[in-house]
Amino acid sequence: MELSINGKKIQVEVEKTMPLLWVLRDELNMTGTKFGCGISACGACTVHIDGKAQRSCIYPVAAAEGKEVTTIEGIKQGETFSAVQQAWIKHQVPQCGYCQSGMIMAVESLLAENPSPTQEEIGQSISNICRCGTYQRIKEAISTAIDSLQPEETIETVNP
Amino acid sequence: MAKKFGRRAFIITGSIFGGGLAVGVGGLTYVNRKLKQFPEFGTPDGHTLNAFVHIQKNSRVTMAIARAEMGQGVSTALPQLIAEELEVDMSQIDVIHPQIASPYANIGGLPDLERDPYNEKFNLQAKIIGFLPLLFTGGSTSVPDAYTHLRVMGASAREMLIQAAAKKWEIATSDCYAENGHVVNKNSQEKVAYGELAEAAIAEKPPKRPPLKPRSEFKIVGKPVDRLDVPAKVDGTAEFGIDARPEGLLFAAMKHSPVIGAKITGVKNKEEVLGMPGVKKVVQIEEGVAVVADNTWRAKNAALKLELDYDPQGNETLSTEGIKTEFAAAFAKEPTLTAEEEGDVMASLETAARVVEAKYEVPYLAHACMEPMNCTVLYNKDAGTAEVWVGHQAPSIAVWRVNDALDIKAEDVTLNMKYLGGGFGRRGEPDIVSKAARVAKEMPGTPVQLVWTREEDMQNDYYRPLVLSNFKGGLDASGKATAWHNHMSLQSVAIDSFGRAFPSLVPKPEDDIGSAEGAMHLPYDFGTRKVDISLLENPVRLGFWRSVGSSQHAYFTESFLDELAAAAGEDGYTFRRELLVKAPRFKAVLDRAAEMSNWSQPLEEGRGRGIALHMSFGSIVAEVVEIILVNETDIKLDKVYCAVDCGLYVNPQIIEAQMQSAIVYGLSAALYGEMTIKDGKFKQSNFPNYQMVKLAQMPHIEVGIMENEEQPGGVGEPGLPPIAPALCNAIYDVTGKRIRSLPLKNHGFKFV
Repeated sequence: MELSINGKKIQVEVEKTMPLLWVLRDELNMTGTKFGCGISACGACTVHIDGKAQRSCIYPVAAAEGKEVTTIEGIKQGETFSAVQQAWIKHQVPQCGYCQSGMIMAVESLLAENPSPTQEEIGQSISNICRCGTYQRIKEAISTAIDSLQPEETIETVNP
Repeated sequence: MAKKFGRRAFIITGSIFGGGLAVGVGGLTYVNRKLKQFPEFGTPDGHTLNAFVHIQKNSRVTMAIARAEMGQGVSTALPQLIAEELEVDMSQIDVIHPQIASPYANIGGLPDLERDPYNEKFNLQAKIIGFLPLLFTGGSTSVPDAYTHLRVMGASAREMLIQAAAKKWEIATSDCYAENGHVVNKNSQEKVAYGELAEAAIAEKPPKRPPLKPRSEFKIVGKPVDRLDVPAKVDGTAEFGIDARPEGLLFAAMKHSPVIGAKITGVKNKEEVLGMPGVKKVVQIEEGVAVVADNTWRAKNAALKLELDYDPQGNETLSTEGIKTEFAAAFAKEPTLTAEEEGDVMASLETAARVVEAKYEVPYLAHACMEPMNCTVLYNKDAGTAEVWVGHQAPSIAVWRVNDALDIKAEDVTLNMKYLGGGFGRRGEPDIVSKAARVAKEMPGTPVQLVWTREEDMQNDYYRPLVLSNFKGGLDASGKATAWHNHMSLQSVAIDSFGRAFPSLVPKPEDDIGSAEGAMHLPYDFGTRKVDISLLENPVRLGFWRSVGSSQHAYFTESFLDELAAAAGEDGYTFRRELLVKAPRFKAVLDRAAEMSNWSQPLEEGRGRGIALHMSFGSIVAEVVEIILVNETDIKLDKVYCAVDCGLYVNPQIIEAQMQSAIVYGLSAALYGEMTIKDGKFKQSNFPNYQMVKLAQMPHIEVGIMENEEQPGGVGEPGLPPIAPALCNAIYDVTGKRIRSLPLKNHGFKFV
């Protein structure tokens, strides 16, 4: 079957039911997307399907046919980190770092859909698990990313 | 349980600890071994000045950091120490993980360690650890081990570069100084980059005692510099053990025995499983059966289909209730040992105006690192060598297990240390490495990556022990504590874990005071005290879990202390403070936390707060938790104020992150954590039934770091012990309900 991953067309020959996670990691050696629980409970495997966050450990690869798959490897534009990644660096979010690909993918998707989410909306949307407990800095980084993503003329009206 | 031990480890530890030291570990001091006996590392066009510093031709500096990066920030904090003295900017540093060698041994965990690295009488244990050599990352020891040694390494390399420059210019070394990766000629202001001096510098003798900067001149140490590993951890390029992709890699999944400690005797349906898509091999080992396939998912699906025959070793009736009953029965008998005793507690209790009694308990806990256990091994049968890719806290022990499994020598194993997706003590155990090696042995010439599912990971952990602790405290007529008796009943982590790694080091039960780690040496002036331990044997495998004994004992002691405070009619802060007359350092930390939380100001209706204080791994931490009672059962964690005294420190932003991290890890345990056993099997298997704190429940954590010149303490673990008692004391404050067992979810509370 043919997949489109980070803008590139890629052919894979696997079972239609194989979760996208294992196609990425083991067939394509794209290891930025992580395995955490296998049952969509932790979010370490989060990717985007047509721009929307999707936990890839339970997402059959056949469902991705004809759609655009984006992984953590596709977030950086050339050498430039995205606004979310820059906020992550500014606030020094990662510790072990294992969950952070999934966290960043979840936040990228949230902010694309809702550029100024409330704390409650952030809490409901970002249900990924981080065993290092980086949540406080994640919250701070999300606030910074929200600010930097606002069109310039509206910055003064943004409520942090 | 596999009772296979590294021959090498056994022979060496056996001969050293069992019957006199017959190996040549004398001669060089520890620091000189780092300066003079080291492996080459770094780029071919560069030059290695000592075990830690390699100058590349382009003047970038490669630093050998032999501690595992598991999130705690060692791959930044340790380079900071070298860079400070070497006079290089953090942006000029590349970090590599060196092969196992003597200069990289970790002596930071030794008690009463002589901090002068030049001391010729450096203690015997340090020499033995260096000789083995024993490399490990744990016990919050990385900075205590490195704080002086690594600055000496940076300073020594700097002086060698200065000596080389002085020769080049034909001037005195006193006419040169180092600055930002260059040596500068004081007279001419001419500069030469380290990269141009390195070749000449390696011929220079390391100075006897290079001068170390006074703290007042530090530009990098003690400053909140950015972590070196962050960029790779935001774009998916950081490589963890599970990301190893050597050429020709195959993947393996495993099914362990369903019953704790059972031994596999056969596979009912081997042919059926061999016929499944992508399956290459089915390998039976003592503890389970692995399926090797061309993809992790195919391997996992095939492993799930395995039908195992096993001998349950009599453990099929094991249950949490049964274990608790057995542990509780020990209270009626004489304790195995008394870990600590001061004065006559029993007499003091008899004369006390008031005696308070309480029984506490905690359950087994799994580590649940985000990255499930995994290890990749390539066995080259013909050459008698092996290559290993793993993120591990104890690489020496990991390699000994590979030696055992493949019957090859330690020096024939190449270990590629990867980032650890969490460690927390779990990755100090070599079980996954041993199992991966035994599977790879059946696939010579092909690298095999063994990955456990979350379920296998959670149900085959080395658990934080189930512990019961019974307290009696006495108060005099004025409400002052006069007696403290703690009698605990538990299985020993040290006996279980050392029994696997260093059988000759296993303490006898009657000597195992370590089981009371965190319950002894409390800073409070009780007048009389006694800490008794009843040790029991049990087939559940135990391991070191973030902050180890302190993780449960601080919950017990700091909760019971609050019970005494309540009985005396005092608040937790004042009651503790009055007992800290002989412990000014503790008092200062407690005061700081109280001050940060505005303790003296009354709370609004519906809010509660609690305080706790504990020292572990050389650092003192006090925490105040403030909660909101939303309704009878719903609690909102609002704020945590955390004051930490870790002595001389390296990176305050990493310390802040580690305090937050330990607090969240401790909160997940306090709110939700329990591994329970029924019919010999663990009931919990994945995050839905072994829950974690998530972003929505996150309290705001404020961290304050004490400024002093005390010896550097640990940072990765000490933030954890006070959080459960501070939280439970806050719950008492607002509900009047005393929580004497964890997790809190079993008391009907929900966290919103």
